[in-house]
Amino acid sequence: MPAQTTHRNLPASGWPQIADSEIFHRYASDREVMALTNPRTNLLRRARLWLVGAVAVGTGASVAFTAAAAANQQDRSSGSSGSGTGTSNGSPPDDFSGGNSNNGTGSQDQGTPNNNQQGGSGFLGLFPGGGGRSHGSSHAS
Amino acid sequence: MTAALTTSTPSTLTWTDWSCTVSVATPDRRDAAVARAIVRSLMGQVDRAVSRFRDDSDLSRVNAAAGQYTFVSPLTLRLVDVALRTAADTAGAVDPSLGADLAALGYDNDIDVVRARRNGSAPTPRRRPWSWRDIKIDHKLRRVGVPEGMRLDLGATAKAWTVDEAAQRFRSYGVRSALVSIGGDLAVAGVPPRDGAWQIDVAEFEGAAGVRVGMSGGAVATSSTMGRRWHRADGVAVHHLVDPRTGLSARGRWRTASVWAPTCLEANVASTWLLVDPDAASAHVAAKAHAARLVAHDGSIEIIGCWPASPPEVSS
Repeated sequence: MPAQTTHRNLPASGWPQIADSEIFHRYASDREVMALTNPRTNLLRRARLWLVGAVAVGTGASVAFTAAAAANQQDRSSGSSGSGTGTSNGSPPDDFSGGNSNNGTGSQDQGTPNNNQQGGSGFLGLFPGGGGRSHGSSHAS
Repeated sequence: MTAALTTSTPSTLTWTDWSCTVSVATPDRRDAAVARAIVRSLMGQVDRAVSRFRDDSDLSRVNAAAGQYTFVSPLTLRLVDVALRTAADTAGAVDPSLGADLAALGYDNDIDVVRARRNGSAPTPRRRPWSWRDIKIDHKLRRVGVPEGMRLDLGATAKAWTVDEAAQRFRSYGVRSALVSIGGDLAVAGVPPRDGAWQIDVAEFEGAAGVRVGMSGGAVATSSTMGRRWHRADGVAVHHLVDPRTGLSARGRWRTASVWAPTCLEANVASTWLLVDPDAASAHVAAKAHAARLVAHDGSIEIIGCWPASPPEVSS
């Protein structure tokens, strides 16, 4: 079936355009309908779905089994595994000006974050720079 | 664009591209070359996609075919998407449709060329019957179109996106820890260096005195009316940060904004927005828990959020 084109004047921008995407959609949907209504294609499609489904179920079971085994192992070896969620909230701590417990107290360590408190990639910080050479420079170019 | 390469320290590589200084820093010197290759490759791809100054870029083809759709690369589509999302998030303050305004101000070539000549005319009444909302994007057929008279410019978002993308790619290429900076827009990836933090000098423009901050993650970007400046044909100094409401160089109450945010794109969008629409952008920065250091026209400093109150100063 030949695709029909439509002309559309979109407002406020002077767009005398053929809505090509409509042709695409029509073409795509025609093919999809043909595939679904063709008995042979439909049979193959069903078989493929069954195969994918079986693999997915098998993989899921395997993963679940592995995870359960790992959890059991951890429980036996450490006793308390904890939740492991950390503080990955994407927000910086309240105070980066040095002096609080997270940022250290000595002059050498002032403002140095405690990496153990990162809790994932969500920990992001900014604080007074220390000595030594700078690694980068932020400026207008 | 030409790229001149120098090695300043064992773990920092610096070169010039896009008319600005590009650098990568890594605690492990073996990672530096990999990081540099990633950044140079990515910058080349972005340049071919959305450079305003090369005729064969997708962006130039879109601008040249204004009024019609143009087929573009997936990268271009993605960058236009980012620009449109940014415009929506900033209520149009960071606008990708200002290419014609920039050209009218004289910024129609590489900034070094623009600075070397007096160019651009005095402002005339602006006819702008469209806005960024009229930029058309067709994801299915991978096409972009702009109305006649509009010219795209993705300068406010493409560079920062490139920084973020490079930082993401470091991990997938096995670079454990790195800082990447393109023209002063920078991001860090991976664990900080051995001494616990990346040391960043923040200044209004390259070579100026500034302050030093440390960061364990995220990104910092600086926008300034002091950086990309040039003189119009009539001798008036203008800069590249255009106010979409007027089409002229922005004249907000701050001349420089440095912003820390989780990503360089967020940081750069906020720093640009702060210079164009200070009130709305200030509220945004505070609400997002970003941090900002602002320099007023008289040189006074204002702070938003958790920017360090008195970081050590560094000379130029």
